[in-house]
Amino acid sequence: MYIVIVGCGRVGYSLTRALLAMGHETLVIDQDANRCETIRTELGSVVLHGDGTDVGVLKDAGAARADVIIAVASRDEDNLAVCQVSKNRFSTPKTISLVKDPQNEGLFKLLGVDVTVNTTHLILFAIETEIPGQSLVHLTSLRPPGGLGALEREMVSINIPPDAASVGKHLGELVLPPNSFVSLVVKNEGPTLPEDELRLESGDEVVAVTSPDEEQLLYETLTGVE
Amino acid sequence: MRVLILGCGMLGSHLASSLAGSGHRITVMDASPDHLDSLSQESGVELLLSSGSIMNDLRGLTLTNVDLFVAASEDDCRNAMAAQVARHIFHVPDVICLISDPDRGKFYQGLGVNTICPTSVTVDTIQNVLSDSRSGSNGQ
Repeated sequence: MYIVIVGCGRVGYSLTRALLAMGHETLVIDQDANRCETIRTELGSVVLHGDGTDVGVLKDAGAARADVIIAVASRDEDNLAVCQVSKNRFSTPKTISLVKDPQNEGLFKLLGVDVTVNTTHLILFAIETEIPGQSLVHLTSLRPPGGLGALEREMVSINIPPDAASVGKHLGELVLPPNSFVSLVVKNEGPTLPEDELRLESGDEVVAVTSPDEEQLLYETLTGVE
Repeated sequence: MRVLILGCGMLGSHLASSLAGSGHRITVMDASPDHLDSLSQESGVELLLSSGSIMNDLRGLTLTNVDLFVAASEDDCRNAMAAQVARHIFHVPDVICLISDPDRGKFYQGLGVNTICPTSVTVDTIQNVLSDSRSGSNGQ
């Protein structure tokens, strides 16, 4: 695959190295001449010095034959420009962009960016998983392809504490918020399908689909003490 | 008309005071307090310190009664994004986006963004002056 990366900061640099190691033809574009020189010394001729939001620079980078364009510059507006130019001018099959401001994610999707990677979400996720005793973890956001109008859903994992009122109950007995449902229960024996007659036990991990406004209610239903 | 202008640089500030002088209700936003200071209090322009996040800024305003949004910062990519946010997310009836790079301007115009390129306008004006003076001298 031919992959063009715009922005050679920490993310761009590590990405370039990783993709080269995987055997992909990779080119990284950066505005900083010194940084380009450092990368050239270390990784060889895989660097183009220039403004990656510029139509001419992307053309020189061979955007027209790129399979993937990855925008990981430091500002959301630049990354959006890179993806829009690639998609509309060079018909790039796949555009991937970093999104710093989580509020911009919907806009990027709406304007045709194929994949958005939200750093804030990723860091939150990492923190949530690392904190001991944290019993609600966001696994992923399930943004429907319909765009902004559609209801935002997310997948969460909730740990059932020993004193929860839900312990010993069948899944079918629990009254969950209207837009939430259990999709998997991870028990000691392993992942189990969420049949109505499945009985919850202390220490179970419940993987559920919910929406941001129902998340708290779902959490209380599953972990609350009666 | 109620007009919201992003960017209080040379262009934004002059546009703001000029439109305010014609009786329009103008708000100008900029992330730099120094830029905002360049507009005098007497101009009647409402000044707004931007948070730097376009989405945050526009969400914070009641855009329902804004008739025209002008993205006039000195940053092409910022203007392009702000204009598209105003149009697609907040449905502002009229949006004008300033893009100083002519190639980039053509690109966004092609995407349906109402674009004005100050560089092209200036170049065209100078060319007109040249051709006028040439035809003038021809006539003599």
